[in-house]
Amino acid sequence: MLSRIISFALCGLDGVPVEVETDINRGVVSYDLVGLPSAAVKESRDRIESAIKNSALRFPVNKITINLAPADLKKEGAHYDLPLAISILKASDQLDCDTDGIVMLGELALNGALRPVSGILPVLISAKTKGYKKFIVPAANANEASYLEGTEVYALDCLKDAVDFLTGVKQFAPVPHRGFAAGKSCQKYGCDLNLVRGQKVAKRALEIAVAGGHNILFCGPPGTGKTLLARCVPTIMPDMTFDEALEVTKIHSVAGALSEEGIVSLRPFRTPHHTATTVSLCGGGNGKVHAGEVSMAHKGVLFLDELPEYSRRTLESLRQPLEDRVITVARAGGAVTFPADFMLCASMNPCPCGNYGSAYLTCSCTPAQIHNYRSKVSGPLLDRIDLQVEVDGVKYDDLTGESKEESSAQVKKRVEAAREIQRERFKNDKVKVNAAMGERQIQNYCALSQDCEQILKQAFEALHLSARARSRIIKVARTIADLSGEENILPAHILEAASYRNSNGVTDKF
Amino acid sequence: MYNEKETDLIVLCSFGQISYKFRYKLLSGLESSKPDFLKYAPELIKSVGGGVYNKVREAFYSGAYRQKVLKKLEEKGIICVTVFSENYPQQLKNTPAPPLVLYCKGNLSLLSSRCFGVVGSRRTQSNVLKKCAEISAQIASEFTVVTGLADGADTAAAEGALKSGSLISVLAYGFDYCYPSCNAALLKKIEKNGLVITEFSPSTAPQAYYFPLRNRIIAGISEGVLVVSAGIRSGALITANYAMDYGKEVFAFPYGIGVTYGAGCNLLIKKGGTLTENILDIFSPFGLDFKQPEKKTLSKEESALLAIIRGQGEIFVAELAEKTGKQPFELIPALSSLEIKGLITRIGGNRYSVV
Repeated sequence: MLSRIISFALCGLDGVPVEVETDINRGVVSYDLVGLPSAAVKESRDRIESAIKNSALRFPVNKITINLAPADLKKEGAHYDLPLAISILKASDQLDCDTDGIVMLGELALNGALRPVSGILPVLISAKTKGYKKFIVPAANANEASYLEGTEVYALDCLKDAVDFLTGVKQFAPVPHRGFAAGKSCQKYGCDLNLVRGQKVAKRALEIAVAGGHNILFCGPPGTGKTLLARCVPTIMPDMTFDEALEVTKIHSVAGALSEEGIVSLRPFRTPHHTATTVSLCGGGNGKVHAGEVSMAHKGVLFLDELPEYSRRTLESLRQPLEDRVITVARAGGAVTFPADFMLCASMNPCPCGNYGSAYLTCSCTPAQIHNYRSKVSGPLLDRIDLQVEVDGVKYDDLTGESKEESSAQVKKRVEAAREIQRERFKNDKVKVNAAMGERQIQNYCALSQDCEQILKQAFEALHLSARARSRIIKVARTIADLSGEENILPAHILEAASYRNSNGVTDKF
Repeated sequence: MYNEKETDLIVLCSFGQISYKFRYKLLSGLESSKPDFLKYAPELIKSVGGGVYNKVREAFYSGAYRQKVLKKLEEKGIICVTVFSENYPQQLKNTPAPPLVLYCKGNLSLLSSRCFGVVGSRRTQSNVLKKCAEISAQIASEFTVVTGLADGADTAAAEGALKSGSLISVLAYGFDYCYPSCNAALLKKIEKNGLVITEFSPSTAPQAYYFPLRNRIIAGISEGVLVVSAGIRSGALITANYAMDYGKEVFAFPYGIGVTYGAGCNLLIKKGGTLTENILDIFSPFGLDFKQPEKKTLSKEESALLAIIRGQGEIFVAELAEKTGKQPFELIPALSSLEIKGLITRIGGNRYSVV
């Protein structure tokens, strides 16, 4: 007899329906699995056989032929165990029921229990758009599935339950739908801006960066709190909306990096080590294409500590995703597009010895050494980092002082107000934040008064700025104006924006 | 293009194997342009070997070799000024060891102008660099600024003087090289707008011991030398010592106690160098005057901030905020404006310093 069960394969973040067809005939005992199964799928036979036997059912001793259609798509992952088992049971007349339109996913344990699988949410989302409503998934994936409305998801414990459910012997309630609550409390992130003592200039720059969606680079001697400042970035970013959370969860689900909660409600903060390869950063890999760190940091922060220590090739690969906000990983087997809308936050020492700019230690580097060190980070990449801020060499008094520092919650309020202004401004545009403005938008929304133009011109001559710095300064000035609630950019905003550039004489010209 | 005497020198200097000392000797102390190979044969053979000696002697009188040397120099766009040439700098000629040939690229007329050396350490703080650029620009109004091409103070001096074109850069290697390589663009600019000279033939690679030799040219060609920064073992001190030996005026920026990159400058002042704070300190010994440019107009806030920074020399933005009772970001526009006006500069770590 012939049986047909629906499951799904994942292509990047998109689900593709896969039909599991089983035909059982009399003949020499065999088990043939065709349709480009990967090793994990091929090995499923032993798991399925044990699981079926341990569920008090019979594994047919006949000629079994299984086809996974479409035949030209590579099938990866262990989530075909459940559909394969059900399909075999149905083909061997042990299961008399209608399985049309039910999508099944799940890995089997030898005792018949269902193990959780990765990528449930993206499958559910694409299946829903393709008209599938009913799903059987492992119980441990229930949380992840509960956030999607308009589906009927049954989270079951074992193969026996699945059989009983399909035949109607036992009744199960679908997973109840849950509302989404973003990680409201800043404390959930485990750090807060009020833990950073002093560093007023850097904190202000951080506020501007988050308010306008700009990328930021901290430059300062070792041990001055650059990393701590970076860790505070997610705490002042606006809360994630449900759509954002779903997008992020999709990526994390495919990577198998979801927590118990089942949804990513906090903004991701990713810190790949500086030995990271281009593939680990951008995505790729053999066979199944994995999402890279840039995609794992989607809607969150990608923090690159000690920027010049990364290999140049790896850093250059960031340029395209920074511009396009998505990354397309092309492999011989096809191209996969992952979202990569992240805020880049980087830190570096000012010079090889690290003491340049320190008030207490002497720097032993020559300008040529400093120049060489800094030129490890290419100009085109630096051009995409709107704010380049120096971090103070902190004094002992600052660390122990009792001065009251602002908390992340207070800063976040101002950031949200500035974002609101931007939402209103860009409601008819494709861009969402000031940092993403192109030349056309800059012309439309950043009208400069005569005074501002004059100051900008003077700044260029006096500070030896590159031509590309112009639009960067204007964009940052726009965000500063938004933060202070001004409709037009004022000279003070231009002057402040001009101060957030990688300077200090050495790199400028000399 | 060159007369016979000049050609003789150019050809002699094309033999990299023969040291300056020998060349000088062979010419019997610049008495003639024809080297006396026979008289010094034993010494020369001992120094460079018989094979080289014979080759050199033969090549010197070979017309084909002469043509080749001159053609190569012409191809590279190098013009030679020899000690027998009319436009050889008089100041340099009067020194005990004048270079026999100066390989030049750029505006040759600068050789006959009044020259002034500006030198300093590679490790110089950025506020001093700004000051160095500023004062070189002012010196360039009366003199031709002479400096090296090292990074740090030399580069700052070159940047300052380049605008007016009154700039001679003296290299410690041949024109086939550039050191440090990050100054390649600057070198091209100086060749175009100013003048680059060296006593080393084009194929001479930079060596550490060439730099002190080069320094004698900077000191020799100049009427005075300003040392903007120097550690106690800095090469800038070598230039200053040459200048003192040659009887030229030496000027130095003063530094505080314990500032390592300024200790050499203070030493020079102790030894009789002129303490220099502004352009008038340099110009008055030469009987020159300098008309100060008009004062820049400052807002009330800017002048208040400037007064505080002046009082302390250098200050953190956070410290400045504490003193004025404002938030740091409220001060940044005024500080930026002061920086644009060239009155203060950043010296790293969110500190500002007066220029």
